Amino acid sequence: MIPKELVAASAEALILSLLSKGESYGYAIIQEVRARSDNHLQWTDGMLYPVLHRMENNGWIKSRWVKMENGRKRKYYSLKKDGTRALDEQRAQWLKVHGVLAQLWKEQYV
Amino acid sequence: MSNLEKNISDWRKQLAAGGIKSPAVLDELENHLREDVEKLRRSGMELPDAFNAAEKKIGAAELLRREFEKTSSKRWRVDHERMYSMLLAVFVTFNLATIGGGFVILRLAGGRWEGPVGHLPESAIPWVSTIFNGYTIAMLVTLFARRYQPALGVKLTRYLSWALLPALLFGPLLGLYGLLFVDRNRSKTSVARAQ
Repeated sequence: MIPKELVAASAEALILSLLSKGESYGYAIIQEVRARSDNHLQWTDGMLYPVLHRMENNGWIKSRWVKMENGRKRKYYSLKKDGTRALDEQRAQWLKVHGVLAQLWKEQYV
Repeated sequence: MSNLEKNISDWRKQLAAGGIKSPAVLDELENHLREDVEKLRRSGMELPDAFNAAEKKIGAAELLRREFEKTSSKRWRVDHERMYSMLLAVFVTFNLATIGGGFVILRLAGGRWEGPVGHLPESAIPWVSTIFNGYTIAMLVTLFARRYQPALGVKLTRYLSWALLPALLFGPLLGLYGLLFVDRNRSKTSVARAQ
């Protein structure tokens, strides 16, 4: 299991990356992150929403309520232009971290 | 009311009592809870167990409230950014309107300023002009740095609190000083000359 500090640190990058594939909603985002990480990345479900709201306040994503077939409404999130820019920045940062670690570990095991 | 509806209603009340008051946030969390309960039931879990598991996964009201509070303080910062941009617009317009002509924002001193309060002592004009122009440039640099060089970590709110406030207070105070004392002396001198 990945420690919660690392989960929290990667939350924005994960959400931005998922939303870059198309709009989605809280529950689906959590399920997809779980599935893609083989259940290693586990959020406390409710913790996702403050992050989504913060990203919306930052102007990175926008939301809209969609009425479903059962009459209930579901809140969908999608990426804004500033979000794409933020994703580019975060991708570069994570790749940098990944690159340094990969380099160090390669040296260690050669 | 079914058991699930009653459980959800009680759970919403608990969250509201714990400090999560926004109906939109409660609706969003409720949707999440319902979807999780449905999924757990499809996997064969009984309703009470499914509800308890889903409720636990969403997290305690206190924890959620604290996280949402952080979001509110972010919103406060975003609002400050808007306020800051508006003030910048006012400053720039002010400079353009009162000094007039040329590349006025870079003209640091010697401009004419009538001021929002009205009358300034003549000797104060270059100083006030310098302060206003200086702050206008500082605001432009701050906004530019925050926008294009976020790695620098320029703190907008700290700048607003400690640097901008004196500028906003100083101009009107000087204007008030001119209105109350300098003009009165000028009037006395004129009366004396007339006599």
